[in-house]
Amino acid sequence: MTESVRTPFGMGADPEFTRLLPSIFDSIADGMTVVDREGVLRYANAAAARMIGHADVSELVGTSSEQAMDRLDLLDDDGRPLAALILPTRRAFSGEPDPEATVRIRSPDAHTERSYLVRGRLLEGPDPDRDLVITSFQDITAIKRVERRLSFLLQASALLGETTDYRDGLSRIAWLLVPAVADWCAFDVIVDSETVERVAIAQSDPELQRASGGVDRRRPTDSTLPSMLDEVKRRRRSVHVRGVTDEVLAQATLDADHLEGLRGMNLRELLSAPLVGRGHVLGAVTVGLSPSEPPLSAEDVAMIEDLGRRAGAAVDAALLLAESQESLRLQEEFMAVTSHDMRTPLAAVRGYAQLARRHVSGEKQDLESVDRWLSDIEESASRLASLVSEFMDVTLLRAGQTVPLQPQPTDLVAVTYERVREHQGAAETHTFEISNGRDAIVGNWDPARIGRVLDNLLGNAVKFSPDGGTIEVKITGDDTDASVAISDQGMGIASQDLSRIFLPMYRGANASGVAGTGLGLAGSRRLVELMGGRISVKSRLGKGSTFTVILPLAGGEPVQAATE
Amino acid sequence: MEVSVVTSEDATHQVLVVEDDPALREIFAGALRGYGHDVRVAGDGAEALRRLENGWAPCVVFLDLRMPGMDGWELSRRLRSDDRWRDVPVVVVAAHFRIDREAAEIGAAAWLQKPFDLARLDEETKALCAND
Repeated sequence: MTESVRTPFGMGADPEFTRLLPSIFDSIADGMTVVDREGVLRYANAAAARMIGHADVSELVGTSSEQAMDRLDLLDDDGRPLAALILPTRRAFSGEPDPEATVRIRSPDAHTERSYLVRGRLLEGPDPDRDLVITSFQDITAIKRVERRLSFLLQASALLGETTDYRDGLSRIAWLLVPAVADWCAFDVIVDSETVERVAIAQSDPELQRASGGVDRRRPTDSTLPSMLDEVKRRRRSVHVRGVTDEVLAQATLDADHLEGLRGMNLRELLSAPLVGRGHVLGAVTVGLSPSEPPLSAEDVAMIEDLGRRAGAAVDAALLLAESQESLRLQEEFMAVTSHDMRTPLAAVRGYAQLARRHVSGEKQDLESVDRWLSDIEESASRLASLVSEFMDVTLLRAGQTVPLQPQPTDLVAVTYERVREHQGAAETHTFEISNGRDAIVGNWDPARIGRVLDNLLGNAVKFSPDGGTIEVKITGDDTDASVAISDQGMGIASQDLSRIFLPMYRGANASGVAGTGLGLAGSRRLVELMGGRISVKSRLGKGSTFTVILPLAGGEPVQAATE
Repeated sequence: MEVSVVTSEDATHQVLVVEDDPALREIFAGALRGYGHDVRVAGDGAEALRRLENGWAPCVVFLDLRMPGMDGWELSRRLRSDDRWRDVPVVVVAAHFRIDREAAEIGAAAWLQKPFDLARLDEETKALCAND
């Protein structure tokens, strides 16, 4: 370029070429200016005028170049304000050979920001006062954007890769986005159908932080723009609000305080992109921009969406890990309880057998005792067999398979009385009150499985009323159905847990500290459903729960081989 | 193995069995009596304390840990905090798969995991009561 600048001056003899020169320079995409030592703009081509925000070159020529630039925000490559002193034009005048710098120029209305590679070159005059500097501005916005997005995504991936706690990773990513891309950023992770956890938040302006403080610290379901997260969940893609109006805010807020808080954040633009893991929306990343920031480009939106997918994969992996660790822990607990339960009757079998042998072969034969011990061995063996078959049921049901039911005419009243008697015998602080509308209610059910379900529900009633009390058992029936309702006066179940207590491995928030393995509510419900019935629950926190088993007298459909 | 005859070499020791399962209680007591020991039984920790309170002193306690009422952990704490019983050795008799760890935690002298050969009851008694 310097050659082409020097040559026309040398070709000054050709007036036709001189006449064409301004048009030639105006057709160049790069901006070019010529400034003298006084700082007066002696020449600017059309591209330079556009960059500075002037439509007409003639307006510019003869003015102070610094005045012309004053209207613009000049930032360095990292977004920090730039002093005119270190611009290549000044540096060229001070003797630095071919200075260059990357400069971001933000238009006065903040709607555009572009990056330029700026180069200065000194053209020596006959004396130093007549030196000129020719400055060129090459627009590298597109390159810079790609570079910035690439580096951002690389950093984000590295952060997600290096921490095992995704919360920490997301928090650091939020601080990458702020202030480089946005003024405000939050990551929300969906915990379950009713809870959302705000795992990370970053905002550029301490003033903004103060204004939004009350809003952000609330639980996210009732804080910043819950409707946006709902929308992201529903549409499974990002939601972009380019112009945040009072109307948008009013729709998204819950009350006046909330609205006031959001207004205080003064965000003009919002983008919420889904965190996606294995095809599911696990949460959202939301960025907000204040009116002083240039709007998000299509590429920015694509980058934040990509970030959402990366973060989603990290969140998903962390949740999977936690789930598998919990599953292993439950497996171990199950193994511990099962082996304990089986070893006790096994010890009785072995012990009675040893005692019996001694009394058969010893000097003092005591066949009467031996006979009794043999009966005890039989009893312990059948206890063991029933434990093994319960263990099989639990294993099959946990794996989502069916169990081989053995339906036969079964009296629900008799089975229930027998189970209640057993539990009453072991209970110390609980009293069982049992009532039945009919003397016998006979249906086509598997008596062992009904016994197991009742054991589970009666056991729960005892476990979850640690202070003791009355456990009411009500058996009713008509011509088509029979039911057993078991009510305790225990800790009850919170309403948000009610829909989930039948999920495998789910335990209510207040159930920690109460040992749990065995069939469980999930297995009980499956068994009852296999017999054509259902289990319902009513509960009040702190007052107690009622579980009702309803069984059709006809029993369930014959069970096919497990195919699930 | 002849166990129903007490020979002159077989010393008689006082043994306490604490076990909530009635069948196992009968079996352990029957076996230990067969070996010639003076056996008392209890179904939980509270009953065990009552057996001890009326002046009868065992030289070993066979103790189940998981019991309704006062469990084995609480009973072992009570024994350790009482000068009269502090030095009585405890043998944990349990079905838990981490019985070794549980026995170490309460400072037991030994452990027997159910099911086991009943002769082990006599062996532990002789080993732990040898200095009596």
